[in-house]
Amino acid sequence: MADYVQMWKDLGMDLENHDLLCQVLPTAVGDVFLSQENRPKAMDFWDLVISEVHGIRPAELIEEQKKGRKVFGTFCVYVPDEVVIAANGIVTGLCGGSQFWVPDGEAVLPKSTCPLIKASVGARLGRTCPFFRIADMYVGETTCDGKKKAYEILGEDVPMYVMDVPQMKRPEDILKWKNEIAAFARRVEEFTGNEITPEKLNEAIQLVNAKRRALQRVYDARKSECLPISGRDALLMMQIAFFDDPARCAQMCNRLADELEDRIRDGVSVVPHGTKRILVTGTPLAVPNWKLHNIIETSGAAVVCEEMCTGTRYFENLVDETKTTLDEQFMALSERYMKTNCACFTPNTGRIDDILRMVKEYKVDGVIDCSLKFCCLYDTEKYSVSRALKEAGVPILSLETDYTDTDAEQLRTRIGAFVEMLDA
Amino acid sequence: MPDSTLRYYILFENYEQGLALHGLLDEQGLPNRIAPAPRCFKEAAACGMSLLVEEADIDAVRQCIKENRGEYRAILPLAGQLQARRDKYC
Repeated sequence: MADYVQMWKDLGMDLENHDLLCQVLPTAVGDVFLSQENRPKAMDFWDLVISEVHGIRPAELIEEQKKGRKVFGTFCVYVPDEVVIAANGIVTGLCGGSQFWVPDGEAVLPKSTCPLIKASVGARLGRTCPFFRIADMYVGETTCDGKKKAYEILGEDVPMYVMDVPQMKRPEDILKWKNEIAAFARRVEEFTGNEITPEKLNEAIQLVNAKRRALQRVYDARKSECLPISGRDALLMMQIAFFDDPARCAQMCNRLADELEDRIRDGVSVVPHGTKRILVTGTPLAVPNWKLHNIIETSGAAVVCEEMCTGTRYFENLVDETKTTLDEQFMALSERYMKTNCACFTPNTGRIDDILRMVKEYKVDGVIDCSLKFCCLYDTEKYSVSRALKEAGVPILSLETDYTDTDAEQLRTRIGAFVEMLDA
Repeated sequence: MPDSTLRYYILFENYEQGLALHGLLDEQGLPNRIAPAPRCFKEAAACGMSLLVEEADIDAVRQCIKENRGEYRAILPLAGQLQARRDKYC
């Protein structure tokens, strides 16, 4: 562990402040994860990763940098990992899910910015996130106004590349995104010094597809009436997927899926029969944001699916693996990524179709649509989501929250009443 | 009701040492779980893993460690650590 202290020093981190974060993490992990009974044994892996979250993976990334590889820090599921991997680069998620980082973000951003953005900027400027310190380049995208402005600040001392995401999904927008991917590939080649060939890109496409299939397998297990894993554990798996090596991520998720499938066969559930099943939709839940899931699952219900960027939007839809030229592959990537239904698009009826489909697939009793404060896009979509679900006869609860603990009691009251209503 | 259960945390020099003992205890059928080392222990000098053992299992775990010369840094008791409804997040 002492090695990590030296590593953090070498990364120029604020050790004193970082230590404050290290103090609160064990309590939250204990309360949210270790208080659960009958967890899948395969969760050992994620328990280790979260216990050493600022240690093991950062150390691995630094070792790879010593070999000449470049690390790209990303913020959004729209950035195509395949392109970076094809140039022998590494993709990592960045910190942004804790109230701990918000004050440092508020020092430079308006308070009326969503906590995810404030925390991301705060983690960078406060020098308390090793991933922000390690990344050789940040890759942003234009999925919200707050992030666009934040990238201007983050790009002041680290190379920042911003991809221009279309705001509609017409054929010309899919073509535009293909061209954006091609331009990004040229920048990645230049930055890494490695050429992206059709063969390398195909390998990368297959690798990331394998990761998507593994994540899907775990989610498929959650569709069972015999629920083999809690929503909290599935969320942790999803959150870590953004940081891990993709091959290892696929391997560990497949190992977990094997166990979950055995549990279903053996009738092993983590909740009593009849526990109400909740689909959570809305803004992403970046690690270590576990408040919503923990409150739901300690209020008598179980989360069975997340229709969010830290959920189904990350892994649903595969990239066509049969294309043999870069031009065709960029188009295949564009077609896959443009199927992701983000609230930045207009119209975004695909998201409602997804939610209605998942309500059936995951045998959902009720939906909780939760957005982070000041996320205008997802907050506005609550109207159409709520209307569609009501028309379909699916109970829905719309919420807004942030990273603080101060609204936990209020959330408990509202979620508790919602679950009680589902039970009635 | 707040949790007042006494549990034991096994602390390590590094995670490789922790994983080795985790594997040994698993092999012997002794319940143990990977957990972040609580920061109230001075021995836990940085973010890092520990093994969490219930009070009922600690004697058998100690015996197993002794017999197999399992490596660790310290075994320390702590009460009231797991409170699902505490609502203190990060």
